[in-house]
Amino acid sequence: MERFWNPASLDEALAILAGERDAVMPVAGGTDLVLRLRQGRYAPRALVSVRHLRAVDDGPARVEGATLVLDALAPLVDVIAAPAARTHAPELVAALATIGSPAIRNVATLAGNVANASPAADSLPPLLVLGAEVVLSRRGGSRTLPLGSFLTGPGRTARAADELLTTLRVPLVPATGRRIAAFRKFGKRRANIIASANVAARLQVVDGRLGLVRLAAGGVAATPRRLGPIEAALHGQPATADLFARVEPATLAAIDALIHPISDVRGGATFKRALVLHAIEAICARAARVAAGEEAGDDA
Amino acid sequence: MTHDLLRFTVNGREVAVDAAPDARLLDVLRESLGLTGVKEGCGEGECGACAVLLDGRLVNSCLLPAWSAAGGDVVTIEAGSTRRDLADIEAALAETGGVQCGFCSPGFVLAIAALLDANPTPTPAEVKEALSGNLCRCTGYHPILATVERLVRERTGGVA
Amino acid sequence: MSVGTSPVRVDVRPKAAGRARYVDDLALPDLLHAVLVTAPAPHGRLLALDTARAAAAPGVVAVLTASDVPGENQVGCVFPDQPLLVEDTFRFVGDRLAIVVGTTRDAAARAAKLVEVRWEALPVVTDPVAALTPESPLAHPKGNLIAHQVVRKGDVDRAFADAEVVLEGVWQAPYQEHAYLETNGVVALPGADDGVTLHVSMQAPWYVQGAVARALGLPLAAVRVIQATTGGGFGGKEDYPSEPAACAAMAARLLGRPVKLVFDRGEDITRSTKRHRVRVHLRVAARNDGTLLGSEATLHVDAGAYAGLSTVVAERANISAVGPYRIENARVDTYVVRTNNLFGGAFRGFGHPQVAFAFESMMDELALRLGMDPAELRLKNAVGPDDTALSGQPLAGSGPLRRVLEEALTASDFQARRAGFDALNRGAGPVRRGIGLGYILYGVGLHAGGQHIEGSGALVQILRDGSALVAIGGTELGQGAATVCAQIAAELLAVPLSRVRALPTDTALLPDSGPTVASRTTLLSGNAVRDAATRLRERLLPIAAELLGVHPERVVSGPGAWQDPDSGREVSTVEVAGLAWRRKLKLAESGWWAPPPKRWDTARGQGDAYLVYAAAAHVAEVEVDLLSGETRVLKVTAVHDVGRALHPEMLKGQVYGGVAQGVGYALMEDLQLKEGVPLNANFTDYLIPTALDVPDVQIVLIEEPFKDGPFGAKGVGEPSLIPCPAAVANAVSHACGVRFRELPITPERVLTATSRFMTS
Repeated sequence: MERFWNPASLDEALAILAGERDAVMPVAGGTDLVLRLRQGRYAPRALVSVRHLRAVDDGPARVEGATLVLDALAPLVDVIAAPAARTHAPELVAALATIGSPAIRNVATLAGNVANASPAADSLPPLLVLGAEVVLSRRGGSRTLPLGSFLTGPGRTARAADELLTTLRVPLVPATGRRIAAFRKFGKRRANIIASANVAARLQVVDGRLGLVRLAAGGVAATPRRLGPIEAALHGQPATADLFARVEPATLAAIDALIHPISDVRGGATFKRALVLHAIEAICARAARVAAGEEAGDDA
Repeated sequence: MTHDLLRFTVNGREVAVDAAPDARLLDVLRESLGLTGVKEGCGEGECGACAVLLDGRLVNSCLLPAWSAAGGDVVTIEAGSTRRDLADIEAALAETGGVQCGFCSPGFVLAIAALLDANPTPTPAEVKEALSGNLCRCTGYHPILATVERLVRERTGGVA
Repeated sequence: MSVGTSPVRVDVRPKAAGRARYVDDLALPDLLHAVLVTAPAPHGRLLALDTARAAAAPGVVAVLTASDVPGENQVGCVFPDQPLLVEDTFRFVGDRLAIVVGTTRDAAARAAKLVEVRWEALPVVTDPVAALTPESPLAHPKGNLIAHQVVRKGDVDRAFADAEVVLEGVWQAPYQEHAYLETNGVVALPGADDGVTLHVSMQAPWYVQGAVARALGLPLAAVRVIQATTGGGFGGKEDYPSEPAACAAMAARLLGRPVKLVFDRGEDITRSTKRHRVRVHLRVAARNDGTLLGSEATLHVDAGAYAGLSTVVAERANISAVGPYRIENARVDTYVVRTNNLFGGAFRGFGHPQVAFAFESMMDELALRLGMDPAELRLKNAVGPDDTALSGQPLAGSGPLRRVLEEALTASDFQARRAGFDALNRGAGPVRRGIGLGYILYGVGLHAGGQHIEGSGALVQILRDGSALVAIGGTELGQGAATVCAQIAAELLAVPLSRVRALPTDTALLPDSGPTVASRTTLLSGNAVRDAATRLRERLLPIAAELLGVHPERVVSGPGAWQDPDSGREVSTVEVAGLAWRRKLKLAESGWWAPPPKRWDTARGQGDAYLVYAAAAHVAEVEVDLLSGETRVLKVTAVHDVGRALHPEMLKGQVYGGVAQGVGYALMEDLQLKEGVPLNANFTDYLIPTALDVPDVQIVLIEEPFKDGPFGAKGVGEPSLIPCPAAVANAVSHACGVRFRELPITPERVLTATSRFMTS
């Protein structure tokens, strides 16, 4: 490696990326990238640090009209603490709090977690159920993509070499009924793990039925994805104790077209599939308890 | 290709080091600056033995590019000779059975310092969470958790 | 009084301050750095090794191979079956092909990638059972069976014929990686003559001395080995460090400059020794009332390609295979088998955790089958002081035995908790609770087969200002050996602990004191210190009496002073030592302790296997989430028979640490191999417990002084771990209502056994 750039502004960083294109990689916290560099996975000519830069002036999360805007360059610890994120994206906050360790969360960023696009990245299922869009900035402009389109394969994204992921935009959903905003990460110990699988859910229980239903699973396919057909099967259903039993046949019929887990050090394929199914089962049970007033929702 | 010297502050002292673009902060601290209290346990950011404070926040120096710390304020375990808060944590750890082989200890001292700076009265759950990125293979963690309990008691004058 | 109290340890303040110097912290002028090139595959014939490009790389001083070994190219710890550097065949992924020496570690590491290896694959032997069939390829030219050890006691066939119940099963205990926070490392310095001095992170200085002398063709006296501050061992630094040490020493000797060799984490996990994988096939014969009649065990111990310490580990597994129960009829066959898998070696418990998991699990299954409470079944069969161990060794004098089990059941409220969880688990929810027991009898010190090294020395000095120096043969790994021995010296010499200094273990100071293993250090080194310090005390006491003006029999000692209790007068240690010095009394003594020889019959595995036994019982409570398969260990009650706690807090530290390692082994430490290649040789995917994973631990220490231990102490380093995996596994099995016979009980194993989605 020949050079490490420390640009003083976002414009300067984008100019460097535009000038050097494929020879330079952006680095934020470095907690994923530094490892990959040392393993020889990449050999860029230079790194451009964005660690001190911010894309949003007044804090890592703020509401603009009907959109929650997240600064992808802010350290995860700051996003986790941001009131707007905690209010409007609790499933994302829960997920970020499971990434790495405190030391890692002090420097790691959403830009890194999203743009590295590990199939097991914890931020991705929550961002998918939130319907997030990715804003990619380059010198002289930017473009916005739905997150699902941004993720093109394991470790692959639509980011061009001269682009930087700077913000994430989440359309706010009007609150109706009781909200469930949950995230679950599965692994062999309770801290600092790469997930065997992870699942995020955003549900609304309105008059005892499921209104909004969004489910996403990670670690079980080339990219984390929404579970559309299962969402459809759940939509409108009464949130009672037998909810999962009622949708189990449709779920089992749909699941293998949606997820394609592989067997690796974090678990066998059948196991990862079972985790996702049990997670859906658990979410249904939770919805029933919330509908029955036995448990609080994750209301703002 | 020539480059400038990497400048930052370490333990209150300004330093200027000749660092390769791909050097890790850990390498600069141990090899260029002789701060061997910062340990390499895994090189993957999993064990926390390399932890330092960067601009007041706990970071794993094995994963941070050295040049990313340019202009920053780094605190290593060696600051214990001048900083009372770190010296108190070291003493408490040593006295409460929190040190056996000692290789993880510097990382834990800094993690505890970072915790108590941000949260002077953590609950037991918050303590475990804050220390979850520091691995210890000898003590089974209980004596270290007891150390934090003792420090909190001391700092709050017995009212925890 | 120092002994029996918990003063601040003698070594911890510099460690907490980051001032203690471990191997990688050592800086020397002209220091070179060595990086090893290891095998490209688990088994292959080396056709050509081309080091020219590597040798020409920037910063490289030399590339050394087998032909450069000055002495004997042999590093086998017990059997001479293992080359230091490969000559023609590599037999596991950690086998060494070359040593690249450079001015920086980076330069050497970059150059190491330039060493060209031409090789042809040989069949990879991976299954120890299949390895013993005649059709199996050979993992090693000496054949796949290293040893077959036995226990033959009573009439097993008759016991099975008379049985009312026979249970049989196979348990699989996996590898465990030590994961000491400090990886293996050594610095070797060439002397001006032909000798060499090494600073090593290690547990067995005399093993290193022997290995280096052999590889360099030097007399032992020319090799000095000094212990560096060592960041954990747990058995992983018993025999293994001899290998990188011999490499570094060879390089230092040939190049005439100091050489440092330190492994990174991936290298360490891949190359160094592991807890053995053991397959345990058990058969148990019992009466309907729970009386055990007989037991048969067949163990397959996967040694890897080289014997290392595997026969010694197997010896302990062999004799511990059937638990702390009265069994008159037993047949154990332990096969130590070569494969091309990872290198099996010493790890805290040394074969016992594996067999304890199996046998304690079998006991629970037997209880289930008989409709008995698992605690009752154990109480019924637990050995007492009138019984003998499996080896036939009488247990009188081995302390509380059964009482340890009883205390564990009481302290954990075992039966009531169990009944409560049974009721809870009948409900519909996915969260289950379980409680499990692990009960063991541990033989302290080296097995009779190792008695040729069971002796340990010490040096004790009192100086003219009343301070003291202690050097022991045991090594300080973090477990507190230096402190306990300093306490013993402090106690006997009337010196405050703060004025005692412990020296790093050094082969130049002491005779071969054996390795720091087998929970033997307090016993052996402690007794050696007691031996030396007692002779010094006998020299100082008359001086104190003279200064006090009383008869020597009246004098007692405390920290810093000698007293006449009748008058209350005292004289300081400073004064006594000063006067002894002025009178030119001999103020240094060397100490030695070796237990009396043990009679042992290898053919039947019967005799006095160990110096003494220590019982231990753990009770674990767990919560299992059947939707995720995740287990949380909520609590472990640990009851230990320790003889005497010389430093209670430090001893408890061993229990906390042992429980954590036991929980890890039971639930999450999953070293995965594919055809002899480790898939997760890193901390990202080889998971050890974090602060969030350890249970609450309640410790009960039972002190019945052991007559031959220093101040009555026994040993706890390994008993603190051994029963834990068994207890956790039994608890998880109880919670789930299915029996787990393979560790670790990962979420995947739980779901495989309980989830309807694992079959559909």
